[in-house]
Amino acid sequence: MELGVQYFQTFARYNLWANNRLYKASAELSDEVRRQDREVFFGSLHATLNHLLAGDRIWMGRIRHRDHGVTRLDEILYEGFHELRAARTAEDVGIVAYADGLKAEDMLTILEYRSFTAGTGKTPLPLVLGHMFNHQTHHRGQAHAMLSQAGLAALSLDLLYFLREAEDAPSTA
Amino acid sequence: MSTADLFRKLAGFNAWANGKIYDSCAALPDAALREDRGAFFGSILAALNHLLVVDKGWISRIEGVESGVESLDQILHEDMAELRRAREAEDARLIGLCERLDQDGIDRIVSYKFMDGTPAKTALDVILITLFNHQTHHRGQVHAMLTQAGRPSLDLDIIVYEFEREAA
Repeated sequence: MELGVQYFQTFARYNLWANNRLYKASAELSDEVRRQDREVFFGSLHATLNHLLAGDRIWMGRIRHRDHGVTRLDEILYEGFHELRAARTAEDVGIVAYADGLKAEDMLTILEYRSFTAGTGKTPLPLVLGHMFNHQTHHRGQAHAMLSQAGLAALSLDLLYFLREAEDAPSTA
Repeated sequence: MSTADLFRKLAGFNAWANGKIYDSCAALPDAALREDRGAFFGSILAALNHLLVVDKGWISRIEGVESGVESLDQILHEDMAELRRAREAEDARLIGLCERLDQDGIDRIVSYKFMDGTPAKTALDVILITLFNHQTHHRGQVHAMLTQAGRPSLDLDIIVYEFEREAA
C-alpha cells in the first residue's frame, strides 16, 4: 500500500497552524528584537522566517514546475514583518490547497530539479514533501529557541497537540 | 513508498542527524554544553536529554514496556559520553521498531498512560509522525544553541541525507 496523501494534508494543515502561532508570538516583539543577530544559522528571527518562506517557495515552485523567483537561500523576501506575515499565510494556504489536490498516483512521481547546492536532483515526491515539512519544523525549532531567548513564554508547536486540537488524533494511514 | 517505508527512512535519518549533532557537541567543553542559553530546556545537554526522554517514552509505549521516564525535563545522563551511548542505543531501537513495522497494522491503536497515570489511546502512525516531528523541532533548537556556542552550522536536511545515501 502506498503512502496516503492524507499524511501530507495533515502536515500542510499543521504547518499553517504552527506558523500562525509562531507569527502571533513574533508579533509581540519589536522589530529591533526580531532583527537582532542571535547567531543562529540565518542570524535573526526575521531572517530565519524569511528563509523558511524562501525554502517553501523554492520547493513549491519545483513541484508545480513554476519559477519560484528565489535567488538565494538567505534572501530577505520581505523587510517588513507585516508583509512577511501576509505572504507566509498566503503560501501556507497555497500549500494546503496543493496537498488537498494530491492524488494517490502523485505519490509515485519522481521530481527532477536543480538544487542550489548539490547539482541536479531526482527525488521521489513523497520524500520531497517529507523534506519540506521536516525543514519547516527544524527552522521553527530555531525560531522557537530565539523567541524563548527574547523572553517570550514557550509556545507548544507539537504535532500531537495540533492533532488533538483538530480532531482527536485520527489515523493518517 | 508505503507509510512504513517512510518511517524506516525517517528512523535512519534521525540516527544520522543525531550523529551529526553529537559529533558537533563533542568539540565543545562540558561547561558550554551545560550553559543555560535560555531555550525551552535551557542548555544543550538538557535539550538532548529531553529528546531522549520523549523518544524513550513513546517507543516504550509502543512496545508496551516500562520506560523509566518520570518527567519531561528529566536528566537521564549527566555525562555526555553516556548520553551519546544511550542515544545511539535508542536510535537503533527505533530503527529496529520501524524495520518490523507491518503496513497493515500501521494505524493500530496503542494504549498507554500519560505520566500522571491517565489512560490514553493513540494510533501508531500518529505516534510515529509526532515522534519524528518532535525530534526535528528540538534538533532545531539544539542547532541554534550550537551555532550560538560558536560551532559551524550543520546541514540536517532529509534531502542531504538522501544525497549522501545515494552517493554511498
